[in-house]
Amino acid sequence: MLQYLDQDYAQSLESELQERLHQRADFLCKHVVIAGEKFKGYYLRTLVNLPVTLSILNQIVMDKNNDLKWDALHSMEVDASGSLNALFDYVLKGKLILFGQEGFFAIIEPEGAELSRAVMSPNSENPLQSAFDAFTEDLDTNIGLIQKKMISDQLVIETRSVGNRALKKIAMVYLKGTTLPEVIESVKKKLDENAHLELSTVRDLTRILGHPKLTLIPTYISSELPEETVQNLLNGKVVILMDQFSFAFAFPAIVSDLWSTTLDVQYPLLFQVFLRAIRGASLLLSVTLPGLYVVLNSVNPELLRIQLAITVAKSREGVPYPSLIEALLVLLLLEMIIEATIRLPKNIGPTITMIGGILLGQAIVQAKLVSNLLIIILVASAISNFALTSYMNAVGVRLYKYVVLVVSSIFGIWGLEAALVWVILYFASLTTCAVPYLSWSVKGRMADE
Amino acid sequence: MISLRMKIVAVMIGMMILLEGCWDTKDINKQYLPVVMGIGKGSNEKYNIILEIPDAAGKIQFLEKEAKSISKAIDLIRTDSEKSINLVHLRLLLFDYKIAGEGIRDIIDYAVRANDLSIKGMVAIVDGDFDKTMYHVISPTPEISTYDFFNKEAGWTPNQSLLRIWEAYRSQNSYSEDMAIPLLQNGERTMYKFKGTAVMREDRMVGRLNREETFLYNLFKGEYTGGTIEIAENTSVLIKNVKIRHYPRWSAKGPSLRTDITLDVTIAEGPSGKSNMEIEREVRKQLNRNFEKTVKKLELLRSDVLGVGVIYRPQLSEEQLKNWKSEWFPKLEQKINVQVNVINDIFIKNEIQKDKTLIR
Amino acid sequence: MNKFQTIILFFLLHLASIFAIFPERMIASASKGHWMPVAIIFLAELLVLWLYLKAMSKFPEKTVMELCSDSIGKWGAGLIVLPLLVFLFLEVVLLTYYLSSEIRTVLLPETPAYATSAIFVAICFYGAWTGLAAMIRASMGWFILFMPFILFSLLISIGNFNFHYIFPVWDSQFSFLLRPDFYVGTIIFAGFLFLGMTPSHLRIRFGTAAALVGVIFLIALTSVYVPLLIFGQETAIHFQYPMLMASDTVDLEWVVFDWLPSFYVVSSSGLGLIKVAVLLWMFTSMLKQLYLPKAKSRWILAVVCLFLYAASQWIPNIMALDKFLYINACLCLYSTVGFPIIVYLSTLWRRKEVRA
Repeated sequence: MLQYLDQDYAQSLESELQERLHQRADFLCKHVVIAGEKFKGYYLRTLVNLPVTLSILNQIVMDKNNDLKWDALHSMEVDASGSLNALFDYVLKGKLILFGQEGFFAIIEPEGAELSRAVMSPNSENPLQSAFDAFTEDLDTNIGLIQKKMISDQLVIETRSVGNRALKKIAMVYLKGTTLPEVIESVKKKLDENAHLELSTVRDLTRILGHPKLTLIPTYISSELPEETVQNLLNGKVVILMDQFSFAFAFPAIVSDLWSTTLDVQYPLLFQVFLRAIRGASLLLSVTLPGLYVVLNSVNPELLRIQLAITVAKSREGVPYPSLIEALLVLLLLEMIIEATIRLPKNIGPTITMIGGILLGQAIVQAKLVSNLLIIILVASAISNFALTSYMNAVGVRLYKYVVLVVSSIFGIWGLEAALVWVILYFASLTTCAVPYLSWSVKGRMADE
Repeated sequence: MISLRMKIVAVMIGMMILLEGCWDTKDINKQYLPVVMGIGKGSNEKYNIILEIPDAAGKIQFLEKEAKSISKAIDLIRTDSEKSINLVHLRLLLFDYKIAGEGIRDIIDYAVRANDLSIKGMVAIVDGDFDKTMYHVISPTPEISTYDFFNKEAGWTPNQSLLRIWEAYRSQNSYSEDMAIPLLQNGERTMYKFKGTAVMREDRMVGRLNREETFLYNLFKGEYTGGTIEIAENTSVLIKNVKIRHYPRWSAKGPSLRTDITLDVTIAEGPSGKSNMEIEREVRKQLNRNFEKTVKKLELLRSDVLGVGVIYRPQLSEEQLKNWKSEWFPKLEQKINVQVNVINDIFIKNEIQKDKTLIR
Repeated sequence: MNKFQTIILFFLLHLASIFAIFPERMIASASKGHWMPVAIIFLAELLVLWLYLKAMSKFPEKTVMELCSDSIGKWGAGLIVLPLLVFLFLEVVLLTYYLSSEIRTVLLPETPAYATSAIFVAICFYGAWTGLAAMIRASMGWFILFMPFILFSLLISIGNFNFHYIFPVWDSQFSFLLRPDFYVGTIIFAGFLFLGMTPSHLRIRFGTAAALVGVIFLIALTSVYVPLLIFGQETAIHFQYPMLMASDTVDLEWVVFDWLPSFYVVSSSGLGLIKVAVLLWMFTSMLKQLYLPKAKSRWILAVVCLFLYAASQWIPNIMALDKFLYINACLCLYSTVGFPIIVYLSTLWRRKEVRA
């Protein structure tokens, strides 16, 4: 919309704009010529590629005759009112604002500077049999990726901005008819209610959606893969994309997400069942194994067969502290190894694994600081932990393991059992986005309650 | 602010529980796990308790005390030992011969009552020198050979009888059954030598069965896996399958039981020239004769170790059942009929044909 | 599909009794023909269940409490429900004591009673705090977690059976009807009362419930006959926990663990947790609806749990438990047989009123 403002008002706008933005080093005011007319252009140098934009503008305008040439500019324009705040926002969002003579002004969608990376293969996930493109930071690209993967008129995409001090664009994507209306409703309601809250991290997002602050398991599934996100949509979840965040978040997570990934459906059914069964088993093992070690070792040794009991006793011979302390020490070491290898460059990681795992493990046993059975048990627990579907899920399980460990060191097998009963009750009481955590599926009417 | 205080209180309570707690925590390397308990007559006190504790290196440690009761003796052992003693893995109770003659009811009751003792443990009687058998060590001792001796998956054969604590408890409470306890002695090269079976009436040892009779006892109970029967020199058959059928009757005189036992056997060793039919006949004759002898012996001992009362249960009223051991069992007439069937699933064909082809 | 979980909870609540007090009482109640008392108990349950569900189905939107107070007024309902409340509380206390003493005997001989029952009550408190709907959902998880142990401890001892011990099978005098132990066995009924308090879309039909009762009957029969077949009647009556002893008789190489009674205790106490939590929830919600409408239900629950904990500490020994069980049997008969009949009659009465 080309606008003609009162000339004085236009001038005051210009000066105020300059005043508000003079702290930005990259804020520029340049005189430009488009179709033979002089304009003053205001923009952020880091976000706008001015020469390219100008040449495009000129090209559009060039071969039109005089009357139509300003209409031709419409294709490059943004609808906006001429208030100062709006202009200010547009500059920050990387638009080009042109002030001409006689109070004429326009907001142009310019050619942006090259700040986004191209679509690449995923970094944090290793899909085996799937599409290999991953989300990037750019919201529009991400939405485009999803739309490309899923051509359907049921697909609903809503974008909105959240935040007060800093605006953040988010997009809410779901499949109409597949996602439960209650889920959509509850997500929308929360987004509307909490639109004023700042959004810069994932935790902010869960806070905006009104999820409980302290949860043992993540209430969402994050994914870098558009392919996986599409499967999540098909499973009836609401996907939220954040601008400048290369992950998609699917809400709500339910219990089966602990052992099933959406990429399983790429395999034959039998393989899928097998893989999920293994993950389910590893979930149970990773929670219970350290606790079970303490139970068998110090509280209820009668559970061990006599042959095993003798060898276990032998392997612990000479270990000076109780098995709880022993387990906690090695667990701490193990957690540190895991934590250390995550952020290390890829070429140092294996070294740490070798030093930590092989050398230290061997030495610690030979020094009789811990029994070798413990090392076996804890490593088994750690491995089964990482057989779970996502890193986020694994952390919750890793945490709960300690609760199980402590309780079962006091109450033995009864404590172990009580801890498991408690966690089931906890899962049952958890309800996010109108869906109970212990549901079979989010899709259709299968969900209980 | 309140919530923070609450949290601190919660954490404090948690710490206190941690400090207070762990009542049952005792590491496995701080415990002795005995596998065998020997109960003998003490020189001064009523009982002399010997515990055998195996370790992974193959050595056996012995702990011994005397006291008026078993638990007191164990308590005394615990006082003197450097580790705690946990009876949960006890698998074999060995009685002195003299104790068995005086009655073992109290000991079995103790074993069932104690909640740290598994009632699946086994019971045996030491025949002969109690201390010598208890302290007998073979080298190298497999760590739990005492336990494997009776283990059906390891060293058990149908020549041995076997009695678990719960079976003993059942028998001494039962209206319709008596127990039979294996008799052991220290072996030369092995840990133990099987000497036969003690026949108990109620909780007292009244007689004994030798190895062959024990085999018949097991056969009657249907425990035959891998049993061999020797008939004459150079002839023995291997039992493959046994069918047992009881025909209990009740006449005016009292109960009379006929038992048909059908054996499927293969010939393990047979002298050339003896036909299958002959072997069959011989086996049958011998088994019938031996069974008759054994049954008569048991009747004289007035001990229902074969569990005939249990077979009669469907026909007995509650009153009759209660009087089974005292009134009806002595009147029992028992007959055992053995049928033998040679099934030849071995590598050699029938002997007669083989003879013709061989050059002597 | 939602009802499936209600079915599971119904099933688990009955199993809880089967794995606690029920088998030893049935063994003690008869000297022969033990299937007869079991069958009679389950026939009675079918009848009562039918009345109860019939009454509920006439007013699908209402819970039992609302039904009562609508038809006989608030005070009348308060009076009728009072024995039921006493029963629920006694039942919860006794079960807590029973299970924590079982845990202490088998698993933790050194741990003091206050510690084992503290964790027991704490978990039940949390369960009741999350509410019935959450517990119905959780029942699926419990089912998956405990069913292997339950089946395992029921059936593992099958190798030691001696089927001759099934005899004698017929008790012509019905002598068990005169033994108080038989009536203690009726606590198994407490498992269906919660059906009157579920939201209407989670109710199950009588046909389903009857089929379930059939399955539970089979399991109850197994639980009574497993110790009988292994030990014989004359021996089994000596045991405090016959099923537990039965699982101790097993010596199998392929079982990884040794001391199998532990698994019995694990399943028994796990089921007990569920039952106590559900009964606690019923107790507090009844209390709130009829007597303390203004109080916050979570505070009521907290106070009730404190009382429960104190009461379970106060019971001195198993003998006292027996005495209370006999007292409780009368209350139990009222609340599980009398109460559903009253509810049924009151719905009939109310229907007439509505029509007139």
